[in-house]
Amino acid sequence: MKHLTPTRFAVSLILLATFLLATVIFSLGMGPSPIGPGEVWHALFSEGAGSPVADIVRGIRLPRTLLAALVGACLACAGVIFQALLRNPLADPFILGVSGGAALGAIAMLSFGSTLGLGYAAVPPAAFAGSLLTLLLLFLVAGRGSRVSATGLLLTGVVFNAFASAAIVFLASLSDMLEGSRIFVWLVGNLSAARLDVAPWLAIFLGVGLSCAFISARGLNVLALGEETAEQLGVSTESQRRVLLVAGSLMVGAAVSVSGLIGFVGLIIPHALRLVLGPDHRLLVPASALAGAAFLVVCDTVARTLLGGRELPVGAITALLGGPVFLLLLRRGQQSWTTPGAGIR
Amino acid sequence: MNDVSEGVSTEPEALGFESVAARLGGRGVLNGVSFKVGLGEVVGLLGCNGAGKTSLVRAATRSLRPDSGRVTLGGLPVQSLTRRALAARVATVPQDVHVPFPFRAGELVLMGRTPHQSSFGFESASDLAIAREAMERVGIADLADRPVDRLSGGERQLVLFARALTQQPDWLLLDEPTAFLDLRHRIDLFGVVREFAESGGGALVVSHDLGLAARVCDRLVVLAEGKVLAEGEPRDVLRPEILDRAFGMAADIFDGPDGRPVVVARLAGDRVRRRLAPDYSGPDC
Repeated sequence: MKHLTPTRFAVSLILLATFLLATVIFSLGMGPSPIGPGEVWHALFSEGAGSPVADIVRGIRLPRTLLAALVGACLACAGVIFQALLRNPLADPFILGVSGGAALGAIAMLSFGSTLGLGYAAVPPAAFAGSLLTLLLLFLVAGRGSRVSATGLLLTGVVFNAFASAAIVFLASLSDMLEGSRIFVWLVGNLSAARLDVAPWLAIFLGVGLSCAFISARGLNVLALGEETAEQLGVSTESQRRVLLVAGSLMVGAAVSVSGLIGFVGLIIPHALRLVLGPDHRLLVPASALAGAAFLVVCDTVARTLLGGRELPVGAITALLGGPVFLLLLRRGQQSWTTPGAGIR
Repeated sequence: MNDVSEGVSTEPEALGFESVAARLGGRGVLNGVSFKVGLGEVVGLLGCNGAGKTSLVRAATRSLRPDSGRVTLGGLPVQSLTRRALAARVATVPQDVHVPFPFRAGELVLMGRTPHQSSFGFESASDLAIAREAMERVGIADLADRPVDRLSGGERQLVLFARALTQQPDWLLLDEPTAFLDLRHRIDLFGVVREFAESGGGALVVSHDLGLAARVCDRLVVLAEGKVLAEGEPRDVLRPEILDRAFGMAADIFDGPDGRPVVVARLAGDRVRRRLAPDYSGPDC
């Protein structure tokens, strides 16, 4: 009988962690002045500050790579949680509207911030506030009574996302050219404007969310079979659902506040891993965090180096790079592929 | 099987429904149902579609909260137990399950250990042995590594049955467990339920197969419009007038080789045939 053994668990995570480390070193070496992996390693771990190579690796590239890894981990992990909670393989981290709220907060700050005398640094907090308000709204609307129903959540999220994008279009049409282009770049998702001082916050939210999901991973397995089945197997679905919903939403809110709407990571990383590692959430949750981090590190490296001096928004790269890779995986894994669209019941 | 220790209550260990009433969407689905399922017996729950059979099973697993009355386990109301404690004693075999992710059959069976495990960790050797034994008992050991979404409806039902056995409960609730099964697998499944009862468990089986229910169950309970219409031994319950009131169907009852009643429903066509051919001498409705 095939099942998750400690060996398979450990080997998979060690391999993924090694892969993440490799992508980080590759990313740190890439840029206007290429640096070899050996030199990167040296600059990271043995050379004191002061040398130009160490300055580039540690001072300039490391913050950005670190943020990419944290954002990728948050998005992929939230994707796993939402797919299981909503019992829908097509769910992504942005489906519940938390991202729409964050985007609305960010765009409002981009549009009106300068009149209030607030700079770009005020955008992430505004975005995060937007995501928290949305989460509150979700609970008020879909969580009335003692139960939070999957369909109710999903509908509230979809409607709120539509509302948020309409409001964003409204704000964008009021803004001038410079603000307009900033809004566009933010909506596609990019890490070029991200500042390192948000990294600790992101790390905290990732830590909390990941631990919540990891600890209740067995519950996620059972919840994916439906609320009633989960109850019959002794899982208190109401409380577990709430905890996981908050954990996932905080990760999404934090990630989106830092980087904008980087799509695709939270949808395809869980799927790709399910094809390779199976659907058991005890492995899937930590594996998604690692793989999501590695994926976004690679994509961001491509985004900032592909056109030489000009940066591409990383959100465009995740879709361009992720789409074909995912289709390839899908073709190979068709045997174990579950029908999409057979989503919520 | 959990130890049935002698608790403080002198009441015999039973899953008891006490005047259970519940409404769903404004309609009263259960209107005061009372009966007991003791350990060591198999009780069949019969009734037409919408009679309240599934609602009763859901009330026993706390998925449906009764508006009045209560369901008790050894004298204690199930609402006072934690879900986990309840799941360790009562296991349910649902009609079907939709599995949105490609879990394997073996993994689904192992989930039956959930009420006995911590929320995180790996399956112990005994968990695996229990699951493997349950799959062998149900005859699906060869399906263990197949993804559940690739199984047929009948195979999936057997997987859910094995999962319920893996819970090692005192009571099994089976909600039309044989709907998708062929005749041989139906008999095998009921055989395992019988074994379960003989080894000290109690079972409540919702079934539309009156003949099989009559042969396997110690007692039958017939529900109609959310009430108990009849309760008792198969030969006392399976009577033409009761079947007429429960299902609105005419039937002939014969004595089977084992002394249990055999129900043969009359075809609605008999009436038609009689009208077309006045000398037709078959049974009439």
